[in-house]
Amino acid sequence: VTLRTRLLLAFVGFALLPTVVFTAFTLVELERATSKAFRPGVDRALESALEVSKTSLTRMDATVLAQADDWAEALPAHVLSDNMRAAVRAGVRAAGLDFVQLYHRDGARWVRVDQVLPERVIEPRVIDLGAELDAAFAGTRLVHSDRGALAGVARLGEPGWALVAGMWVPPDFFAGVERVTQGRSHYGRLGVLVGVQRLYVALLVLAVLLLLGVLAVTVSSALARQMAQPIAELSAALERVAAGDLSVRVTPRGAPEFLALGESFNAMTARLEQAREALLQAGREAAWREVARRLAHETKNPLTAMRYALHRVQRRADLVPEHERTAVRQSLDALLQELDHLATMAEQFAQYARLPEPRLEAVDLAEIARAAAALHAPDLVQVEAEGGALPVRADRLLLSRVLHNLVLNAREASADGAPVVVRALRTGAHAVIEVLDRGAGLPAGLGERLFDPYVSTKQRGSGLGLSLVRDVVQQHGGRVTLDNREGGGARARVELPLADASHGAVPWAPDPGPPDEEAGRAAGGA
Amino acid sequence: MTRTHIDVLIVDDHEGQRRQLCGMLEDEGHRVAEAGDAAAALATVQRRRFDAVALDVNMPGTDGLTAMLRLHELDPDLAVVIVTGETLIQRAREFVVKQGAFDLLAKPPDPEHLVAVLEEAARLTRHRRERPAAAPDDLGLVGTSAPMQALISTCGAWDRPTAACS
Repeated sequence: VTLRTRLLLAFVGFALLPTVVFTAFTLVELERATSKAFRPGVDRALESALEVSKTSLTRMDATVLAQADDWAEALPAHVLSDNMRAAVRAGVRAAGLDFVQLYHRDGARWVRVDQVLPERVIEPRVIDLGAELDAAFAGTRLVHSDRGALAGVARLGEPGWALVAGMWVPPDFFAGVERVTQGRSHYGRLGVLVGVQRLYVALLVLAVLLLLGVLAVTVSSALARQMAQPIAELSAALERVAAGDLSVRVTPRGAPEFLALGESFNAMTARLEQAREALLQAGREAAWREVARRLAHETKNPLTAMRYALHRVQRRADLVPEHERTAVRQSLDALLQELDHLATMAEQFAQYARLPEPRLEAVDLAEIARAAAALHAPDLVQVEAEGGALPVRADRLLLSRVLHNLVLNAREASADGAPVVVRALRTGAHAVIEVLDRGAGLPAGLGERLFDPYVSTKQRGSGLGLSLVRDVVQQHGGRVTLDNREGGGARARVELPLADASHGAVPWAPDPGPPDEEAGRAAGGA
Repeated sequence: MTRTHIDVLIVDDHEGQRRQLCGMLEDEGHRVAEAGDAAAALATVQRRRFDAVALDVNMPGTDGLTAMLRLHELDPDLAVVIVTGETLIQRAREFVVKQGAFDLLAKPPDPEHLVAVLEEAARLTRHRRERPAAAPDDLGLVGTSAPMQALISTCGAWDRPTAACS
């Protein structure tokens, strides 16, 4: 799982967790709020109440209508006699009615002619329903009056006469029934509304959740890219460095930490590149020096022979006939002059070929060896330096190059994984560094010639590395030898006079006894 | 002062140089032998007695300085003049002299100077050989073992050299 994916998952997780919790909380609270406001029980109670009142109203309607018809059949038109009136009063009470009224049409209006109330009514009420009769006859023959009456109407035998039989009801009885009806239907609508709103809110929350999710993914992927990209770039750049491309640079960007990282990386590769350039430059210089050295050397031998020959001829110049003698002498002098000129040139080449004068200072050879080894992985180049400091008077830079070359040679000669050992020790008045590898050892027949310029066993070697090693070590009054290591591999051994030796810093001197062939070579085998 | 004739061994891998120096010394009336490398030089010294050696340093096989140490083992009195084109060796003149060289000359040397130095070296060699402490037939060889006795008798049978320029 890449870093970017992990960051993305983490960001999305952190963004969505609160959202989900918030949503759940909202939905639960909403449920609680709506269930407080709307209860299915209330709905049913209202329903039954409405049912009860409607049923009783219908029964009352049927009663008054039937009584109106009965009384219309039983009573004559006109004003009632006292006997009749008494009979009606008794009948009305028996029927449970509150009143019976007689109306006569007078033109467009119904005029109340008589009203019979039940017996023993203490406080007689009179409500004139004349205005409502036409509407009743046109419809259900029922009068629901807001003034407090519920009555049925019927026609008497003679035209223009009507009978009304009814009961008193509370003045807002019908409005109350109407209000109950309205309340119930309102409550029903409210239930639907609450259901719809609950769905609506759930959808809204879901949409917000989705939106937040998309937002979280977008923002976190941008953030993750911002974080992961500089790292990915750096890692790619590092891979190129590992492959040997030191010209690689990154563009520092992103957070200050990444900026600093990128800048450090660039500074590091720049320094590495400079160091490599310096090494290459040193190598080129060494090559040029070697060319000059060869040129000088190869020129000097024939020049010497020519000088000897010329001397012999000069000695015999007197043998030339006298008239030729001057010309011969002049020519010989010219030759000698040109020869001297060539010899000077050869010497100049030789001067150029010389290593720069070492700047001697007190240095610790063991420490220089450790520094040279530190350029390589610790498991590839091991240092054995238990003997402490090895003080010598030497040019630190030149000695570093010597050890660098030796370690590099050993590394290149080593089989895969076999570590190179750099050992620092002291023997008598000498500081010794040994570089040991487990490679193929010294090629038979080359031996000490490996120190000669342009002699190399490597496919891509210049053959100048060991030559420089020998020149520098000799310059410091020391010697370097190559031999085969016990158990396979090669051993390079550098000996330099110790600066703290009791008899002072003496240049390495060969032992007088035979067979010390190497001694002479080390001192003079240029 | 009358010039004494001396025996000189020239050791150099460069043939032209060897020839010319040989001729030059013969012009002066000296006896000369040549060797192209250290091994030939050592073999020649074992056969003949020389007063001076003109020795090159940079040669195939054993180099000149090592050869000088070997020559001194065979003949400790023999004065050796190093003639080299190597700048590095030229700068180490003191060291080379410490190792037993009579002198060190840079190539190409001034011919007359070279001859003079060789004659000087020969004088030193002869002077050493004529030390009063040494018996007339003392060859400077010490030893009582059979091989050493054989060597001493061989040395005593040395011929005086004749001219040998090739």
